[in-house]
Amino acid sequence: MVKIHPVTKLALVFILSVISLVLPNILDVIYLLLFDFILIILTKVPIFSKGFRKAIIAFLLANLSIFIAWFFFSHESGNITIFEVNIVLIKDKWIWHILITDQTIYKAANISLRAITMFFLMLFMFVSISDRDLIHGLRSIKFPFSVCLVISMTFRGLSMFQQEYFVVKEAMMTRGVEFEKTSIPKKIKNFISIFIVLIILMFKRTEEMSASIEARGIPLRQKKRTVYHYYPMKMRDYLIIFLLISFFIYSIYLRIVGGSFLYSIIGLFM
Amino acid sequence: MSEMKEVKPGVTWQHLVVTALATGDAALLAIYAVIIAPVAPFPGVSGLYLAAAIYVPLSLWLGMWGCIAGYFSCVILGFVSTPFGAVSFIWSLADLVEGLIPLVAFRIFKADVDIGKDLKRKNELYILLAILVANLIVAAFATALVIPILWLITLIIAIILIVIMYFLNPSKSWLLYVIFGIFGAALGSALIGIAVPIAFGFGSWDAFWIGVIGWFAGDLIVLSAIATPMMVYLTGKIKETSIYVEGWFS
Repeated sequence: MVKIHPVTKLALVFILSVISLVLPNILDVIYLLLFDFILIILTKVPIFSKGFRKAIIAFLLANLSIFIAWFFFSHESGNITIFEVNIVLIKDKWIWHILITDQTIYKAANISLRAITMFFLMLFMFVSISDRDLIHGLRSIKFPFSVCLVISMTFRGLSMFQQEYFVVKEAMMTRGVEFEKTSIPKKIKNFISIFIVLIILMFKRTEEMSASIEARGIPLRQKKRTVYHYYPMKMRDYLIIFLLISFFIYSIYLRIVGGSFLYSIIGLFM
Repeated sequence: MSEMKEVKPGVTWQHLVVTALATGDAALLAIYAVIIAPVAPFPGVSGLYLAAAIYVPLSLWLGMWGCIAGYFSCVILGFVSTPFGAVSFIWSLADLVEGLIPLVAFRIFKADVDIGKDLKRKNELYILLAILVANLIVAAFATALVIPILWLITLIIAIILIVIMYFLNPSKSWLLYVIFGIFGAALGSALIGIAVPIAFGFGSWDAFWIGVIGWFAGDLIVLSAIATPMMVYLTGKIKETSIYVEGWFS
């Protein structure tokens, strides 16, 4: 899996995540989810580690909100009514009316499954592509250098902001500013103070970094620029991207005709 | 002797660097906001969206670069803490619009973004702003629950409050900021930010208004309570730096 080009991995994640929304049959989505698991296993990351488990549980709980939303806020009429109750009444008009039918459960399961599929695709992206791989990969396919540098700086910005936030907060705490046991207006005031400092620091960093880039003579637009780390796309990468695009086009066709990918494959061999 | 001409510097590395760093900052705040104050039933929606306090003022200081920072921070949020996957690219238009609405308003009306310049009766203005925010949240509930009378009352109160604000502090910039930078930005982003996930099947249209109220209130509070003082205190200083953008991109 490591041998695949980072751009191919990105294409894999984005095209499959669109396909998971396009495929009409729920069984196909389940198979796509299984494919996700295979991809993650191939990356050889410790998926049963504590940190990994925590992230998955946190997501599954968030995903539960989508499931519950369909239960409490949709009115899908179905063949079997499981539960029905009126909650909010204003001027003889029911504003909130809970109706759970077999169709509600089907639709909730359908969208939750698609959401889980996309989550595991994103997880695959995060565990298999490092920011360095991403930048080198993009440069290898002639992505503009300035854009690659901006992406790299964005990742740097994430960690820098986090560090600076704690430094500023601790500096304020050493001067007696209370963050935990204080009133909400005071908390907002403290947040404003931190934000103002962080924004000033961000502008200061900007001046330093842009001066350093300019001092190195890096132009905004220059096509012929060589790279030290070169990851060329190989035949297998082109093949994977071709298969992905074909699968995407076929899934659109399936959506239009309302067919199933699995059944159409079985049909080919029968 | 040739005549002196005013030359616009154009896009420089400073713009790209500040966009990258602001994207990182706003993304981290967005993820944090979604974790500490989630709004059920929509993933990725926060009742206290702190990131808006960064990229809305930035869009007024840095033009389109601030809007771009808002957009990409939301894309990162979409990847990290929601199940939206590739849909994040469309969903994030909500945050782009949030920065774009005040920016377009200020550019069209050719207003000075320094809302703190010659600010009169600051304390009274902040109190009125707090009342206006509470009133607008009630208005959102009235819209969701289809109560026209309550909606009309809140609308009248909002207009009166804005008129009083103008009499207390007759500044075009302040007025534009309250209408487009706080109310317009929060409403525009809430409508797009909730409509997109629903359109892609992540929720039911019946839950639309619940999501809109959560998003709208979350942004309204942050924009009025955190972004406004930042605009008041920092705009003057940022205008003195070379990073400040007078036009759209430079």
